[in-house]
Amino acid sequence: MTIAVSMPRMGESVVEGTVERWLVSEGDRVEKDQILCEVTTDKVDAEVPAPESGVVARILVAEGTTVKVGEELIQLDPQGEPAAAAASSPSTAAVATAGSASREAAPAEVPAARGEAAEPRVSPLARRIAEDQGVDLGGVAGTGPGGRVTRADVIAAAAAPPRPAAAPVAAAVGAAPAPGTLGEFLYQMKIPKAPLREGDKEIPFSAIRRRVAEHMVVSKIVSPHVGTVAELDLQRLVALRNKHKQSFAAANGFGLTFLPFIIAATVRGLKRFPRMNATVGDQVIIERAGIHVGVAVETERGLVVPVIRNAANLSLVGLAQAIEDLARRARDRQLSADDMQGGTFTVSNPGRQGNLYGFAVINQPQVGILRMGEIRKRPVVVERDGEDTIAIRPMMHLALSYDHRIIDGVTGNSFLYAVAKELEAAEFEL
Amino acid sequence: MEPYDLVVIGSGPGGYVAAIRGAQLGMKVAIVEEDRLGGVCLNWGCIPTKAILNSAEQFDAIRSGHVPGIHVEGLEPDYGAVIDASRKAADRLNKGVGSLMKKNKIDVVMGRGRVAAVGKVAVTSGKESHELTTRNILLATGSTELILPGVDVDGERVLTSREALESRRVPGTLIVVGAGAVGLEFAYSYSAYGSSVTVIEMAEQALPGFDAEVAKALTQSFKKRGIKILTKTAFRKLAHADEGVAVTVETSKGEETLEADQILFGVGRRALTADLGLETVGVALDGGFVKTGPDFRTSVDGIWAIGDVRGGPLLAHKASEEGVAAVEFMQNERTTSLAYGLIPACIYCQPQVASVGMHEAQARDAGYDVCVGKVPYLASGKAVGTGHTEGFVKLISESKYGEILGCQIIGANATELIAEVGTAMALESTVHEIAEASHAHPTLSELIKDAALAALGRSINF
Repeated sequence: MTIAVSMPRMGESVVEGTVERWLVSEGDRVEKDQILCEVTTDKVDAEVPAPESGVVARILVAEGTTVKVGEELIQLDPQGEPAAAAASSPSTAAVATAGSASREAAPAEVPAARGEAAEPRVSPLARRIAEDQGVDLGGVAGTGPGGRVTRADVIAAAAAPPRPAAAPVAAAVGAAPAPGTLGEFLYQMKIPKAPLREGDKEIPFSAIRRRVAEHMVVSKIVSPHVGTVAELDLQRLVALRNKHKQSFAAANGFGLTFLPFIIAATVRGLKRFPRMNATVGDQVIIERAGIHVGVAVETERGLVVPVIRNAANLSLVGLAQAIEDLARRARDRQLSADDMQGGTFTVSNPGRQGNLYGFAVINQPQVGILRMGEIRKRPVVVERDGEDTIAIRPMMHLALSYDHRIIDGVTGNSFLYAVAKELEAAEFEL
Repeated sequence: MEPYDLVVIGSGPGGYVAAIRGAQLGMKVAIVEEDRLGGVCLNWGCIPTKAILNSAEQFDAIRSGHVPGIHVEGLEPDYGAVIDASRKAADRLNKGVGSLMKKNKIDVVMGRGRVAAVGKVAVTSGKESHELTTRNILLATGSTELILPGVDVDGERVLTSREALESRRVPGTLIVVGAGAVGLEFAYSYSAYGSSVTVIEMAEQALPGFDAEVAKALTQSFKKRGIKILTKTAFRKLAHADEGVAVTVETSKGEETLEADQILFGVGRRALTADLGLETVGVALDGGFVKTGPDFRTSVDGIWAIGDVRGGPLLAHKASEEGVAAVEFMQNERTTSLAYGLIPACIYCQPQVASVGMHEAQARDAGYDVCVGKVPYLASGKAVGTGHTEGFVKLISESKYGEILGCQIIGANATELIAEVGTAMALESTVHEIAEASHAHPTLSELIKDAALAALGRSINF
């Protein structure tokens, strides 16, 4: 009796997904919740876990294949015995060399596979050029002494049209970058690749890592980032939070953090400066009607940015509950594609320690992102009864990255100043 | 006599090596030689000149007090003994080639070889003549000293390298025409044995075609030794004057006359194509050289040519490589021609000069993003320890991949050191691999590693 695992639902608008990479082979023993494969859609990247422990009976869908939500991907046999060797289907054979599971099992074999079996003999110069130009040496016929791949062979291969190779496998062994990937993008940019040296550890990109990497590069190129920082005295805010901490936890079942306050202040700022809640169209600025705030959350699997929809309609408690809900679902991998879409502005809270301040990369197609620094007590000059005096205050730096294509300094600074003043004033209903 | 697979005309470093390669590939081979086995290289070129240069170096070192702890009273040059030793070296190698022929079962046919027809080589020795029948004829007749019009080489006052190699006399004053390899090597040897030497060169620098920095360093070094090199100075005419010669030269300032006891011409070489029967079968020439394709075929099927007679750099090792390659083409053992960019050129005076591949200016002209790793001999412990601090290594690479484009070395043992870079280039190594490779300390070869490190911006000793 086997269990079928199907393409999961990843949100209302997602009807199909592409099996990016199999992490298991036929005959492998898998544990409950072990990731079977990575799936990509046009909206979201996901991983498909095993619903039960068992042995992989059959892989039904080859890598690179797009199937409808609900279609069967793989069959597991809960009572099966692991096979000694992987089956002979091409996709699973490919996984055996490229999949992270097999790498972890036999890391010592990886260099040997690169140097000897998988590749012909290659001159050092040819190897450097191949690495730089993304030429798959496995597919190059050598014309040098003893069939050695020479400079001329690699240059000829680089000039030839790319072979329709299995993209994920090729990417995993550092070969020809697939069209539309970060690798291809870097190749186009003629950025030299770092050659792999002995003892180096090669960690293949997960689907989520790839998505993040591409997004960061694209954002940095698309948007001329400008950074500006405000220094905030959070004495009132800290006092407000401390005052409500216990009753809040008792009423809601989770702790009250600073993040909902930051988001609430941000929403107020965005209302006053709609230019910050915008996107850049084709020769137009689109100021968004709704305020949907993305919250950057780092999970085990990587960085995700779920969105608090219509944040302007939520009270502080509502915001706190929304954040808690998203964070919990992110940890439990329950976020859907819909949860990640439609943000108009993003707040990033990368953790407190060792983080005075830093500038986040804008989450496209938005035009601004706020990044929280650590809260730390500092001596500051304050005015008391008309006289300057030194006081100890909980201070925080709040850094804004904005897109200079449509936001100029005054707007950017004014928005940040407004948010900062809201937080310092700490007038929030709890 | 059964027909041969291959008859080689000329037993120089091209011909005898080709003959051996043919024998290795199972061909029945004969080699025809008019004079002495080994050709010019072994008898009248590379080998005897190196014997002379070795003595010159030793004599120079002791005389100039460059070797600490050796002090010689009454040091006397005996140039006659130097010439004798050089002849002995040539004889020894000449016999060596004879035994190599025997070992490889190659028939040595003494006499003048001519192409009688396609597949026929006529050999004349004195009054006797006979014909060899063969599938392939390989022309490896080489070249001889070029003699300028109006110059009467008498072996007394007027010489070429050929005469100089048998002349036991060291002239008091000597004019050398041509600052190429031949001219500079003789200028150095004679100067070491006490001649006052002036070299005239038509081009803008000594060593025309070489790296300008190397040429400059060599010119300065020669100047310190008392050898004058006059560049942009053209030989015009020659007359006898008293016991010696009066040489009219033309400089940018006009004509002037230089006098000396002897004049030595090192102005180039011409291919030996005359009286070879080439016109009878219609072998085409090109600018005085036998015209060949990249596979060493001439315009006539079954007739091939290698070495100086087909032109290109007139170098013994280039001829040897071509000999091997031509025979491999004959036997369908080869599909690609030689990598001419990897043929080194060496000059054996002191300081020695060696070059392989492109020099800096050539690499820039070729459009490379050039990276020069330059290290002086002073940076080498071995060089300092042995008193050979003159010179430098220039390793020319391309910036992106570290592809090695060439190397020029001036200094002690340059001609030996260059082989490492040539090998690295043949293996398509980059500066990274040379920089990674451990080089024994203390050796001069560390300079190559340091030059590679310098190219990567992390030279250790400089």
